Amino acid sequence: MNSRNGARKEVAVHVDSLGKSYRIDHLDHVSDPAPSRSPGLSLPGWLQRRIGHGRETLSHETFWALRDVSFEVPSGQVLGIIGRNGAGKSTFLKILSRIIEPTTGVAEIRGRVGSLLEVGTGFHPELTGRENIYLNGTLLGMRRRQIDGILDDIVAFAEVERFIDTPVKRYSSGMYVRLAFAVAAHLEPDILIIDEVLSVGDAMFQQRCLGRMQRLGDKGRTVIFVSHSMEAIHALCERAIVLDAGRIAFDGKPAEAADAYYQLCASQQSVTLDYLERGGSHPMAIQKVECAFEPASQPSLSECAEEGGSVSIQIQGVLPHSFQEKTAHLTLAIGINQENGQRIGTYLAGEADEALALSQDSFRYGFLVQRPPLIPGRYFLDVSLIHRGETIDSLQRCASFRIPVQPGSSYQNADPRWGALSLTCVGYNLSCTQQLEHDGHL
Amino acid sequence: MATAETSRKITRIQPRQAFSFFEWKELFEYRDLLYFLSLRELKLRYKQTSLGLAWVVLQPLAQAIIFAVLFGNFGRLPSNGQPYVLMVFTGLIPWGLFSNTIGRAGGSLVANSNLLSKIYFPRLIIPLASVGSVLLDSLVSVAALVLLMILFSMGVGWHVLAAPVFLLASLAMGLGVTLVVASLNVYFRDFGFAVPFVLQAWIYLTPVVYSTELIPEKWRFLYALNPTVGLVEGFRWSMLGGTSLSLEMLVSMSVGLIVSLVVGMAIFQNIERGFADII
Repeated sequence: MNSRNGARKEVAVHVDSLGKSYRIDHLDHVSDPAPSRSPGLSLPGWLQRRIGHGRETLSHETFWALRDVSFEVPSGQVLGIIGRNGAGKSTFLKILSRIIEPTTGVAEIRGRVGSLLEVGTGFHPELTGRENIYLNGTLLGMRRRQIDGILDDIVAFAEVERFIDTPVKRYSSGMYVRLAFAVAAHLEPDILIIDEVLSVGDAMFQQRCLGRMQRLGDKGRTVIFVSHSMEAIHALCERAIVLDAGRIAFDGKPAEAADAYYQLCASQQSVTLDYLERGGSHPMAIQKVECAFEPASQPSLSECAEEGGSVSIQIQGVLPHSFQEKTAHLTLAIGINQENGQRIGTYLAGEADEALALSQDSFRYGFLVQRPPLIPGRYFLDVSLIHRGETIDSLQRCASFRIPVQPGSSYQNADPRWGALSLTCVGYNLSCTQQLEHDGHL
Repeated sequence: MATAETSRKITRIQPRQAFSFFEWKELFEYRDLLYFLSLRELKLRYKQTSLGLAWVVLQPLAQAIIFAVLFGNFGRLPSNGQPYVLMVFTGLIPWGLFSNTIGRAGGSLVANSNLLSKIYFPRLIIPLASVGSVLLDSLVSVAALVLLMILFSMGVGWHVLAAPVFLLASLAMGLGVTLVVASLNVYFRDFGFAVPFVLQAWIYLTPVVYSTELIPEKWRFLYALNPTVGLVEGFRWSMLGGTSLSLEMLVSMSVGLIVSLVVGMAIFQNIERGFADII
């Protein structure tokens, strides 16, 4: 494997047809298909069951949490795994961490594995910070002598020097999380497996954790990282795998993996719309929200590479009874947010707006934004139906569209911290260097 | 760099087919974890108590006194010529080791389910960690026993050297039974309920509150088949001397010990892989 081609990277994790199944029991009530022939005699249900007219049976179903998963992770790669809830991400991590056993297939791991599936595992409120560090550290696989050496570093990272000998039950939740993560952050295995632990703690703390993980990746450790935060995946990972219903749906660059992921979510649109964060007095009014980016049919003639294409937004819904006669003060508010939740703009459509079509009991909205001045990235819609300041129905992040990176664009790896506006599309280049030279300013 | 990488350990994860045997090397690698988990058990038991370890002795002592008054004085149970209190107390120590191991370690897997579902380590460490606290309790009780013996002016003979053997035997037998109970308890929580009840009955089948003299000759052989009989009479003999200990008891104790350990380890090793699925 390594003698033929010296430049070939070593494989840290090799997974082949990995699968995990569970048996689920269902209690079915099967009633006798042949009804009783006795004329005029109709027995009550409970009696029927007793004399065998109905049967309760136990049926089994095999549920595959993970199915036929195969891939390789070269040493030193930072791999992200994304997928909807129940896709099998945690199951996969648990198998790699040897917590549960696979049903089929094989996984081979080269090197020491450190698994962070939860922060603060083993912490006991009655023990002091110091005692918990040792307990948690040895749980994670460190040796006592190793912990002795880095104890001061851990305490310093967590910033709990004054309280290190008090029972952890007296800590604030922030201190608790910092201490737990400090121990985990000093784990230096060959392969690090992390499951969404970054969702705890405040923003600044999360940044430090991300930074720490980045440094691990830089040092050549292999990292397998599961998260729901696309921002973290973009920031850290060079490759991402999308899991769906236990199988691999996509394997490639993080940006494209995010696309595949959102497409999977969108294909279940009617289901997700019911479960999204909804608010308002009549949370069934808005029924359909669609938006999409369509690339330009002709190449852009201007210098701005970001220009081109259009975003269409279409919304349909019903008007609740109480508002059917009061359309004068009805407003449909469409907010556009960046991936990190930052609102960049809001359309307000009232009765007078031509894009909003109101009938007696329903409404439709259709709008096309031509040449959206947005930098490449993914944008989400919040839609609200409001009457005189009172919210009738409101949906958060119910649809999304993506502005792709155009060839020649300076925004190749768009960072959400840059904002959303593509200023190059709304200004002109000052081609007057000659003028400035002339005036003596250069 | 290439040579350093190729020397890294390769771990293979796949569904285990064959009946597997115990992995001592891995247990040894995790010895620090065993130490800290045992320490945690100990600390948690006695933290924030002012009497602390004194409770360890007070419980069997109080039991012994109650038994002495009830069974020794009023019931006049035979004590083979030895002071009744001493006889009961020496019986309570090995029995305590045995039953407390089962009691504390039996539910340990379920109690530590959060560890089992999030981190990998040899699962045997969890029941083993409870054993440490039981052992410490027993050692404190032995110290109290010695004091009692001094009070009663009882000397020790050469047979006191056998005392550690019987203590360890009690521990090991308790561990074997615990492994069976703890692993089955993960699947059938009935065991957690059954165990205290069984132990309560079992103590009367063991010569703790009475001497074996009580059992009629013709039943003695059958009686000795209970492995815990050997544990108790053995320890009693090692501390106080006497003639109650017979060869059948020793043999049955040894057989019981080996069988329980082997069966316990076997069952545990082969169903522990499914723990995290159930818990």
